[in-house]
Amino acid sequence: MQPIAKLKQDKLKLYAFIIFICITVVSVQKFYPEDYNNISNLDTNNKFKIFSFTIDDTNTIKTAFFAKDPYNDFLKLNKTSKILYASSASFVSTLDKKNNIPVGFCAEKGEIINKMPHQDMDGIVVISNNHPKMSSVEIIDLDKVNGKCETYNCESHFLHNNIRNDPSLAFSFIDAIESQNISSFQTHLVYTKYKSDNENFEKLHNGNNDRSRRFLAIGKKDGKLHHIIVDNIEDNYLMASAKNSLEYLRQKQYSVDFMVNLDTGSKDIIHAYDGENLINLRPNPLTSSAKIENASSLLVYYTEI
Amino acid sequence: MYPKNLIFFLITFQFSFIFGYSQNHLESQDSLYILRTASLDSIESNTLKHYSVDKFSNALDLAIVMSQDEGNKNVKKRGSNLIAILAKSFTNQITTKAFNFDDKKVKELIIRFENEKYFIERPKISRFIKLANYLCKGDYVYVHKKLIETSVYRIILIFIIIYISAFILTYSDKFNWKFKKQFRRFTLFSVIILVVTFVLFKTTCHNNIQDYSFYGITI
Repeated sequence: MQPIAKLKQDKLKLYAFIIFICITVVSVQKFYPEDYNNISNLDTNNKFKIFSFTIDDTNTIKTAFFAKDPYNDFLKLNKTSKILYASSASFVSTLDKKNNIPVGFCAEKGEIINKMPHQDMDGIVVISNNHPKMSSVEIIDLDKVNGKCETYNCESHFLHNNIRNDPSLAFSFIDAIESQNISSFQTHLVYTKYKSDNENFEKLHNGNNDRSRRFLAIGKKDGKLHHIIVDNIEDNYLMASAKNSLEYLRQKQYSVDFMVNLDTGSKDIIHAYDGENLINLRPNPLTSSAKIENASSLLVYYTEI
Repeated sequence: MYPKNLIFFLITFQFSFIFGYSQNHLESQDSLYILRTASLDSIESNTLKHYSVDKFSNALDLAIVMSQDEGNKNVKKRGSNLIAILAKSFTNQITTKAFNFDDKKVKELIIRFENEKYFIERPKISRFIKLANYLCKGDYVYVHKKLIETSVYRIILIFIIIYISAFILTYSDKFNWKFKKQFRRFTLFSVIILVVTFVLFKTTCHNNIQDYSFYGITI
């Protein structure tokens, strides 16, 4: 072959290679935005997907929890807001969709759905939308003894009443939920800053290793408050998966205060914003129930348009 | 006119009835008084431990009335907290199986708690019911995934492989044995039964699988 012809062919290969690399980078960036307006940050590898939301008063990021009529409420919100993330959250007790009662304490915008705390679940997630720009999401550790309120937080201190261990505090807690239009659900607390790692992950292999796991963590990175969803797509035991997820978050420089379990059972639903559209990240679920139309509860992160 | 024994018996019965009634009535009044006045901690840790289903029911009546007292906030608060305490203690009695979940009175009381938005923890739904429910909905991939995790899956798989091998060998006349005809008949019969059962199940399952019963059989 002539040297010039060979050179041309090599150049062509090089251009093709560069074009291939560019297309790959652009398509990956499009699907998994590295940084969506500094609000939603999606990090992904083979085992974990992280959806991280920076919470401060410069971002108008909000959180909602739907348990009464989740799909219709989701559709209504979708008309007025840009939904960044939606997934199944609390657990339900029955097989019948009509009678889906959340397991453990549950409320939506001040309306109580279930007042009965579950004795085996250690965490209550409290979502308040009373700030005009941002939502507050707190995770209450039900293993912790009630503390006395300080002058600055007495108004919201009732939310730290341990209604699972001490039902005689129910009135104050429920009154605070109703009067402040708070949404709330109970779930497994898989990590709390009040315990050491050894105490948190004492029993790694309890239960079954038959499903992927998803967690909501609250923590800090670069001095800013973050709400982080970790989607661990490999089948694993709850606590083993929680430990792996926490280690992954720490690798990513997050300092986690609390982490709770989100439902990934027969109704494993997760949708996330890809920069253009809300994408169903479980397009081929194992069960017919695992569709957003059949959701029994939804945790949603959104910005108002 | 009446035999003396009968009069004596009637008087004794009346006395015992009145005495028994007043004793129960007093006990009941006493119990309700405790619920109104004693510390909630002592009610939870001492009083409710010895309650029967009927006593729980009476206590819930009182707590509901108290929780609706708009004129007195303290009474309302105590009533609401009392319902929460009753719900927790009642749940303990059910989860420790001190109360029978299938008892009619227990079921009625569960519904009364549910009316107050206290959904009492129920026994776990069996794996069989869950799998039957998914089979009914047509979630075969999910059922298969769940079956793989069970210990009997490998045994069933080995049995199916051996049976199909035997079936193929028998039909291709490579395997002549004494019960060839019976084996063929049995296979045909089994397949028909399986197909009919499956069709029947799929057409009738929707209303016959409940949380704790399968076609009316309590599980």
